[in-house]
Amino acid sequence: MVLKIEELHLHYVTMRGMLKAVDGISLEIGSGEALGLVGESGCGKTSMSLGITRLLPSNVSEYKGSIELEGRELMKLSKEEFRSDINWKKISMVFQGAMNSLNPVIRVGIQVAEPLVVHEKMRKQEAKERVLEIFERVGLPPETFDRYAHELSGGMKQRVVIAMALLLNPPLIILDEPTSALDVSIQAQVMNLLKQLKKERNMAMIFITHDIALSSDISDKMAVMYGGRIVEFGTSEQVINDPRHPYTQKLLASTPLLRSYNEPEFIPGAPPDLVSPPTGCNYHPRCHMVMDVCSRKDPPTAYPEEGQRVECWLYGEENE
Amino acid sequence: MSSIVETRNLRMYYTVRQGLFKTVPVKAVDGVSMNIKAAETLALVGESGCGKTSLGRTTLRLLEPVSGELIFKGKDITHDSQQSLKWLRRDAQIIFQDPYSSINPYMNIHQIMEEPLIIHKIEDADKRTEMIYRALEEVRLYPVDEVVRKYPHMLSGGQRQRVTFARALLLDPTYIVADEPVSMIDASSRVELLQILSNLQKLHNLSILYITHDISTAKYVSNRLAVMYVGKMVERGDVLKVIGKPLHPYTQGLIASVPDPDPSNRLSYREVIPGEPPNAINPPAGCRFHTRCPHVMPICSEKEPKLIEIEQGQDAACFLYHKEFVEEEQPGDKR
Repeated sequence: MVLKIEELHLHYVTMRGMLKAVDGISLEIGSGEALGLVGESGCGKTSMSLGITRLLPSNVSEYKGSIELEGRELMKLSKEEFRSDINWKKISMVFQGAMNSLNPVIRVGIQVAEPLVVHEKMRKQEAKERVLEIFERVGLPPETFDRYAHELSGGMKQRVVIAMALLLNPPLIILDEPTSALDVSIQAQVMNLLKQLKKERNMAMIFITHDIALSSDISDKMAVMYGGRIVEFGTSEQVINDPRHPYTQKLLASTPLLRSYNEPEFIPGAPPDLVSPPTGCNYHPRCHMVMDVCSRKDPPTAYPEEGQRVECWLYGEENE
Repeated sequence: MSSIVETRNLRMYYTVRQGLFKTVPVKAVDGVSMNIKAAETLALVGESGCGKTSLGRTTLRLLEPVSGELIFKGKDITHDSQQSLKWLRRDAQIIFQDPYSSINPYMNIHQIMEEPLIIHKIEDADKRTEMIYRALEEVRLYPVDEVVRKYPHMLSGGQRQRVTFARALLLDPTYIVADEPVSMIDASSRVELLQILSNLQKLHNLSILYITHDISTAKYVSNRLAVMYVGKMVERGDVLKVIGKPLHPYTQGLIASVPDPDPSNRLSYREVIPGEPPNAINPPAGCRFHTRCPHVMPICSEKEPKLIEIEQGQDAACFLYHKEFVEEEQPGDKR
C-alpha cells in the first residue's frame, strides 16, 4: 500500500458559514496503481488533493484524519518536516493550469533543475543532465532546456510540469485535471505519456477529473465523489461496468458515447451547497431511487463485492 | 431544402503586429464554402485556433470577411453596411460559451431579457412581459415569476446558460450560432441543456451552427458535422457517417483521441496525431495537415486538395480519395 487515507476531513470557514469540502474520506492506493477521482465541480476533489499535499488555504477550520504514505503517518509531521521530506520527494503534484505558473523570465530548464541544486545540493552540470534525461522521457527535445515558457505550446508546457513532478522520482503523483486546458489530440498524447510513465516507473497516481471517460483511460481504480464524500469506490471494471450508486449510474448515463449509440440522460437539479448540505444522503434530492430513509439518516457503507464500496441506503437495509 | 446561411469561399483574416511596424495576416478562415439548411443543426468541430469561432462570427458579420460571399436567406449580405443589417441582428442570434460573462450581473433576469425587446422597438410593456415569460418557460426555468426577479449570481451556471438561450430566442430568430454552449456546464447538466436546445430547434424551426471541440456532444445534437483544421474545412457530412467512418486522416485521428468510458482503455495506448497544430500565420503549403498526416504523399505538400463529395453525403479534402486541387488564388482577391 502506497497511500492509505482514513476519515480525512477538510472544512473551510466562509462568509456564509462552515463549508465541508472534504467530509470523511477513506481510500487506499497500491504501488503502481492509478486511482481516478471523478466528480463534478465543487464536489471536493481538488480540496482533497490539497488536503493530501497539505497545501491548505488560510481559511481552513478543520483538518483531521489519517494519511499514511508508505507506512508513515503524515498528519503527525510538522510543517517543516512535511515540506522538506514529503513535497516533491514523496508526493508531487501537477495542478490544473500548472503550465501557466511557469516563471516567464527564467529559462524552463533552470526552473526544473532548481530543486536539485537547492535541495539536493547537486552540481549544476549534473542537475542539467538529470533534467535533460527527464525531458527526453516526457518527449521534450533537449533545446527546450533553454527556452522561455512563452516560447512553448500548451502541450509542451504541460510536459515540462510533468517532468518537474517526476524529477525526484516520488512514489505518488497527484494529477489534478492535467489535460483540461489542452486540445483533444494533445490530451491523447499526454495520456499516452502518463500510461507509459506509470508502466516504466511503477508510480502510483491520483488522477483527478470531471470526465469519467478520460478517467477510464488511465485508472485502475475509481472513486466517485459527490458533496465532499466518496460515494462509490472500486476497480474501474466495477465502477464502469457495474455501477452501484445511483449517482454513478446517472453520471455514466449522462456521458454521450462516440462509438456506440445511447440516448444520454441528465440528472435534474444541481450539486449540493456544501455550506448547508441536505440532511441524510447528500444526493437524495436528485436521486431517482430516493427512499424515505435517505433524507433522514446518513447512508451506510456497503460492500457489494470484493474491493467495491458504496455509500447508499439501497445496499444497507440491515442497518435500519 | 433551401439554405438559410451559405458561404462561398469565405475568408476572414486577423492582423497581428510582428515587430514594430510590420503587420501580418492570420488566416483564421481561409476559403470556406458551406451551407446550413432550414431547421438543420450543423456542428463545426475542431481544435482551438482552427477558425471555428471566427467562421461562426463571420456568418453573423460580427467579424468582417476579407473576401468571398456570405448569403443569408438567399440575399448576399457580404458588403451590406452594419446600419442596414439591423434586421439581421434580430433574425440571427448568438449564444456564448461563458454564461458568467455574457449576462450583466447588475440587471435582474427581467431586465436582461427586456433589453433586446426595447432595442427592437416592442413598445407594449405587457407584450414584452408576455414574451419574456414564454421564452423562460420554453427553457424550463420555473417558476418563471420568481426567476424574473432574480439576479444572475443567484442562478447556477446551467440556469444562467438557459437565460442566454431564452434571450437568444426572444425575437424569434431563424439562425443561431451556439459557440461552445455547454463546455462550461457540469457533466450532469450538460445533456439537459442540449436537450433544451434540440427541443427549441424543433419548436422554432431553427437553423443552428453548433461550434464545439467536443465531437461526442456534436453527435448528439447535430444533423451534419463539419471538421475544420487551420482555417480550412477538411471534412463534412451526415453526422453518423462522419463519426462512424471518418474519411480524412485528421478526422480519424481526432475521433481516435476521444475516449468512451471503458475500463479496458487503460490497457493499451491510444492512437494519436503526432506533433502540434501549425501556426495560422504561416500554415504549411498544400494540404495543411500534411506535416502530421500518417498517409502523407508527395502531392500533399504541393497542392491543396479540394473539398468534394467522396461518398453520398460525405465530403473530404484529401488526396487519398481524389486528385482534385484548389486553383491558385485569383489576383482579384484582397490582400
